[in-house]
Amino acid sequence: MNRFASAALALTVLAATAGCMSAPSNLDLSLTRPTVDNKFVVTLQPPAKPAAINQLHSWQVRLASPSGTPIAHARIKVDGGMPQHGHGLPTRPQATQELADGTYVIEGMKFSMTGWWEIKLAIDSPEGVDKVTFNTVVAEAAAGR
Amino acid sequence: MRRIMNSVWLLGSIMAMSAALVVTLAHAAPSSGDSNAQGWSKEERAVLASLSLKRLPPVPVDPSNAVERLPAAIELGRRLFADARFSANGAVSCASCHDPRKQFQDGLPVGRGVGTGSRRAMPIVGAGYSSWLFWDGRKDSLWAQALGPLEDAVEHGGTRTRYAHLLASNYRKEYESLFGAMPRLENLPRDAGPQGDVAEKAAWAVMDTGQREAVSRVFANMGKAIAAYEKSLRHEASLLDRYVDAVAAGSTADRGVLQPGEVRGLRLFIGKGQCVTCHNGPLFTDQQFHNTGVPPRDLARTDRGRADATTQVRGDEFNCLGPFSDAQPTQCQELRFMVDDDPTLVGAFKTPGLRGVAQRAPYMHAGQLATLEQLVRHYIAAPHAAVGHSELTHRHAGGAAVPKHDERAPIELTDAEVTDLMSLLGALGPEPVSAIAAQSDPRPEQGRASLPMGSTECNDVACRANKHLGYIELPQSDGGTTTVFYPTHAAEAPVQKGPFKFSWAHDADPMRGNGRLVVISHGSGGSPWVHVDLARVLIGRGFTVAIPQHAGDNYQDLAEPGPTSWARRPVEVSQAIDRVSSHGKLGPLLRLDAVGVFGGSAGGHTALTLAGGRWSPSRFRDHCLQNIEQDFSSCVGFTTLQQGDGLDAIKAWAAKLVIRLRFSDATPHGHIDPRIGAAIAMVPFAADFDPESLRQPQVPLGLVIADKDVNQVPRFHVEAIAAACELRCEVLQRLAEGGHGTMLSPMPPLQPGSVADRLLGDLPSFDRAATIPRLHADVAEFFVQHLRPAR
Repeated sequence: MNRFASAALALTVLAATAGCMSAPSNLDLSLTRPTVDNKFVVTLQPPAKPAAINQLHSWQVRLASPSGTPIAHARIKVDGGMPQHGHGLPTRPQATQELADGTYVIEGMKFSMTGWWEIKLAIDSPEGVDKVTFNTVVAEAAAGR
Repeated sequence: MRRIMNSVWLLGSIMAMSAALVVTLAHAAPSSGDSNAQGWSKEERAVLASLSLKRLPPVPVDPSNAVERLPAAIELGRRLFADARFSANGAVSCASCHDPRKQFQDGLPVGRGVGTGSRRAMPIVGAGYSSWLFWDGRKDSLWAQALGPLEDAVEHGGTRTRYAHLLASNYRKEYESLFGAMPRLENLPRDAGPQGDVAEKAAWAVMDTGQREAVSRVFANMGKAIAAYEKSLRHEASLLDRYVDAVAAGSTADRGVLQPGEVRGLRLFIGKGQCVTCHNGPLFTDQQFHNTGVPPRDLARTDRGRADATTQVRGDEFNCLGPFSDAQPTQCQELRFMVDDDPTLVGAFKTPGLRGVAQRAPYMHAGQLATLEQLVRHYIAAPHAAVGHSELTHRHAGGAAVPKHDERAPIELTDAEVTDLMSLLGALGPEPVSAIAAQSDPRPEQGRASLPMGSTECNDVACRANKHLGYIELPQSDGGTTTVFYPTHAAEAPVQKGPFKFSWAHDADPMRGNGRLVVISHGSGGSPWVHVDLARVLIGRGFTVAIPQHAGDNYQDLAEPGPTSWARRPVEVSQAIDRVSSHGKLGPLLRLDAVGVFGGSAGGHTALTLAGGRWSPSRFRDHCLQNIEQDFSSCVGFTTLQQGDGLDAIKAWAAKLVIRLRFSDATPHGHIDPRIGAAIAMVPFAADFDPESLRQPQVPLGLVIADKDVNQVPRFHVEAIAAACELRCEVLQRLAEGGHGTMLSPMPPLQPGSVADRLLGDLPSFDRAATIPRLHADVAEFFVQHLRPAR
């Protein structure tokens, strides 16, 4: 869980320095969230080093029951976009691997600009169907060189 | 023994040194820290910084094109790009619609090749950053894109076998050096291809599978060469870049480059105009597809744009996963994760970059909007889309429709704001080149072709017929002569200078070039003549070139080489800038707030000093006492060599004795001229610099290393600088087989076996004819990038 915590912290710090395109100041940027119907607790792990704008990269997702039991054999669909701009993700990311402990690899992530992005996950597992939306603010620092 | 004593740099010079030194120690004044002069908030400054060309990362590697970075592929592609034989009627080349004089586009609403197309020709510079090519992204690489028009019936209109035959007869050697043996084509039809007319398709169908694949491979390779060339093209910095760099640096120096209206436009661009929403980053594009309700050119034939292109790119035999790709399937991530079923793709087209936009009317994917004003007003009008749905919102019909929370706000600008925004768009291109200069450059330059948008290069016969080498001698107060080369329209005449035959236009009227000056500092005992080839390349890029004569260390007067001259040389560069500046005809055409300096050997020492380096005679002494056996010529000069005999030890001993006596001054020497904007040191003498002083040079510093340099052994000199430098340094080229004489072109005649020949002569393994033009092109490119040719 440490890995996730530190990654979450990193993104929060990043978000605090961003906000150029005036994302709402009260955005919930937490990387661990319950799903809409509280069937799962989902933790999103961004890459250790923020990816450059328009560069493909991978994230990880960890699924657990509300009591903390890892959820295996889930199907995850990824969607999202920029709510303030009315467009979706520039790519169609996919959950391509299931690792141990209810952790899944999401490949094909890409952000085409800085600002507020939503990452929406639809989860379909033997334990039920539910969905969750994360907010992330891509900062210029991530735009890299 | 006496000869050795005399040969050490210093004799006769040291005494004069303390008196002759005209050294101004570094005094670069930091700016006053006024970081917010025009009221940009921290967030706004971050957005502004993100637009700078300096933020542009290196162009991504395309794993599907294995040759894209090979100079031979770039050169082949450059030639193919302009070769009109590759078309049905022998009159259409890539350059027909992608005209290097017009930012690689044609200024027409839709392309005109052998017929008339249905979309607008797109500019090419920066296209290597796109994952998806064409307005609709129906190709996934630059090379696959290049093949499209070649087979398109209304563009080049040719066929695969025709192109293979043409390559075999005209470019066989070049092709085979890159791609291996050309397949046998003797029995193949002249015109056959899968995209051709009925007869051409039929001819293609009767070829066997192996033949079809072999021809398609030749065709694909042709695209890879063209892509290599296209990918070598670079954007020029704009006035906006200078402005945003100044804002980012908290400097007030360049704030004035934008007019107040342009600054207001910039505020709108990143603010309520919302332009930066899609036109973001250094290329002013998010590289994505958007429907903004641009009216179709032909209402009867609506264009679904991206929505139809995803199927095409997946099925394209030339895509990343196809048989002609050099990529592993796992490297084809863009195709794998492509969005293909999103309703917002209907009627969506790629966001074009905006660099140079004001000079690129008409606008949109089919040239629907004729003027910049119509372009800006389109986003305010935000019409409903004829096909699909526009992302833009508008309070249509004056209704009270307030945008929903998750929609974009309408773009509402006053007439004055439209004007301001248009002004800003005008500042996104490089400086306007005079019409005459633009007309004189019909074709791209050779080698690493980096073209200023709106202007082009001059390196072939047709071009040189218009842009000539001007020559003038400016007298120096010390009796020497500063030689100046510059672009001119006047005709050149043959000239003999010593052993060299040149041609130039003596005292001719200068034409307006790019407004920038490069000063070349010659080597010890040097002349301007051995730098004429470089000067000509620089003139081809629009520069003016001044070569001061360094007192006491030139071909006519070698009385005071070594540290005495090293101390004077940078000052002499400053004086040369003054001299050119005050010249009645040259001065008014130049902006001398960013001057380049190039030097080789002792000239490299000059360049390093002007880049902020500080050196001292005692460091020279220490280096020689420690390393003279390994770096003999650096310490002793040109008069004698180590011969591997019993005298070597005596020579070294004698030289050390003199050096120890003569070079004890530990004062750091430097000279900063704030007009210097970039420096290149080639095979420099550099062992006497304090490495710390060049850890962060004052200006961008290019280094050229010649691995076989026995005169200034690289590890003590240029490599030490490269190792010490952490910021703003770039090794422009490392010449594996090059020696010290690579800084000279033309090469003076050297008596075989002489000391000069041993120290300067080319090794048999050094390919001068192939290497030097590329080096000169890189030198010119470095100065173009860093001096930001002025308005």
